[in-house]
Amino acid sequence: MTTLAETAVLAAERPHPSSQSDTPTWRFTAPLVAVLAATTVVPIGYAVYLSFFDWNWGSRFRFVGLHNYAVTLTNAEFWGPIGRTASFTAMALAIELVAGLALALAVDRLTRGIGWLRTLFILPLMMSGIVVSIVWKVMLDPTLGVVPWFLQHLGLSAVNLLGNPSTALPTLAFLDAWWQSGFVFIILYAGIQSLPKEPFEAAEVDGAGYWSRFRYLTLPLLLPLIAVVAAVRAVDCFKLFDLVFGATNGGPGTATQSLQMLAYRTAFKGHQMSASMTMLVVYTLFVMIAVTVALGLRRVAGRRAGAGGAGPQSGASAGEA
Amino acid sequence: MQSRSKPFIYLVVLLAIVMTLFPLYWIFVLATRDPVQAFGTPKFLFVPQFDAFGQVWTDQGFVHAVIMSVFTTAITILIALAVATPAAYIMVRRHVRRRQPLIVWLLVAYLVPDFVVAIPFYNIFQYIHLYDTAIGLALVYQVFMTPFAVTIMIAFFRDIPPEVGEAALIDGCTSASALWRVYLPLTRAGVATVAILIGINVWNEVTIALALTSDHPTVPIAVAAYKGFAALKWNQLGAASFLSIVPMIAFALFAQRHIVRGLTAGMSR
Repeated sequence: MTTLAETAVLAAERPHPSSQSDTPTWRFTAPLVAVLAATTVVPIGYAVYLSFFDWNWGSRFRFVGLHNYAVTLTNAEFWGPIGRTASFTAMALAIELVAGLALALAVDRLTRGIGWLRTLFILPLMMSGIVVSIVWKVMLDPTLGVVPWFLQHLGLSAVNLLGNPSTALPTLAFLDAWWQSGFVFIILYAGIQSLPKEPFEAAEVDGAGYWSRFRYLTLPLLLPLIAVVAAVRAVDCFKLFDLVFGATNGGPGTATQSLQMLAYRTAFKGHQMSASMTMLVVYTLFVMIAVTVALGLRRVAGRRAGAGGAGPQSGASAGEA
Repeated sequence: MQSRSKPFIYLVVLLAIVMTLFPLYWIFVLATRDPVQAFGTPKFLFVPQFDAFGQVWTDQGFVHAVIMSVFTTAITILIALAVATPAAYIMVRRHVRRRQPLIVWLLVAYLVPDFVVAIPFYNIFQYIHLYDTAIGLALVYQVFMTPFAVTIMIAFFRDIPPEVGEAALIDGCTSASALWRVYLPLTRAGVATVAILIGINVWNEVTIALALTSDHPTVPIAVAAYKGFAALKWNQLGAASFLSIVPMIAFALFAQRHIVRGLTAGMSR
């Protein structure tokens, strides 16, 4: 999504000559602005407004100022899910990036059947998070599931992966990886395909083995793309809800309660509208800050690479463009 | 080197294939095994029974969920394309003064956690009678779908040489009619890509549909109703899951190129 800005900047380089009688620019952007206003400014404004009140969906509705914020920020029930969502994101990202990259590198070295493999590996992406989670829940069922049965036949003890507080969250991260690694694969495979050929040929002539070529050429050249993929996946993981909703409902205990799950429960089960809105507003701010920091870091890193100038870095951006 | 690493590569790919396909096969197994026998040891080959599909499709009203999802998906695609295409076009072909704020706005819309949008709309829609309707859902989906559509359409418009449109403008076309008559026919692939990717996203969406529907659930919400069945009716759970992914698998088989192009266009730098 960081790419959105760059795409537009690049696009600006070749504007049309526009005459006086031509359709004014605002006529083209007005529908988008109207829809964006209706779907962001209206609900978020309403959410912020409600966060200053005490409302239980019913008759109780009174202004409490910043009281909700004070309660939320000092509540362990708010920070627990934030930490959980963050560690889920870290685990899922680690598995997805390693699996997606390994698969992209492996498929890159195949000569046949690549079209079919791409179709195959996007299949999990075609599924709803609900289907992914309830099907895996059944497969992992400690007494009747096929996975524990299989593990027992391998001589391993069958663990109740989703029912154990210490394994439930990593298991959800694994489900997310099963679901989304295909996305990482598709992007990184396309990235590998568009890498410049010359440095690799030169390295091979110089006698560099596969691993050193990977370490000193492929990985550094792919790094900008890997960062973008990681950012997109991270944004998605921060919104974690459907896997939790389908597989564990936040349990056992609160072991898998993500922030969105907590907000959902607070609003619809606890009927504490204002508390739920406050959490979500604060969380949205956190996500914005994280993304702004990440974009800033990227700009600094980009400037440094730009100053370093020649060689593989500039080759990479040319290859991907 | 080449010959030594080949078996390892085949092993990685084979493992990935098995890992990907097994759960998909297992959905079929769950759906077609005899519900009583299903509580014995797992079996991999057996005579499939298709009763559960009929039970889910008609008796439990899955067909209504499919109709709701089809409408929601179609309306979402139409609104997103109608709104995003002109904006993407003009951002590529003209110097738009407030481009940067608009891009940041799209980025923010994409980042927002679903419930910060869905729960306020739960209240708002009660007043304006859009709660539990396909139109209401399609409207709320724009928050995530317009950023997506704009990004992809920008990538496709950039691929068209500017000279094409300039010729039309010199001939006296306005930019609006140049978009309609010249650019749109040339970006049919882009329109298809946006439609397919939005279709997949909306068909599978859970969070917003859960908050904004009750009597008219979409397909994923109808499937979620079976999660309580996990204890007893695995065949119906499997059948509902299977029915929900069949159209998407058809998409993947026939529109693989579009899907891959769309996913990478969102990433391209």
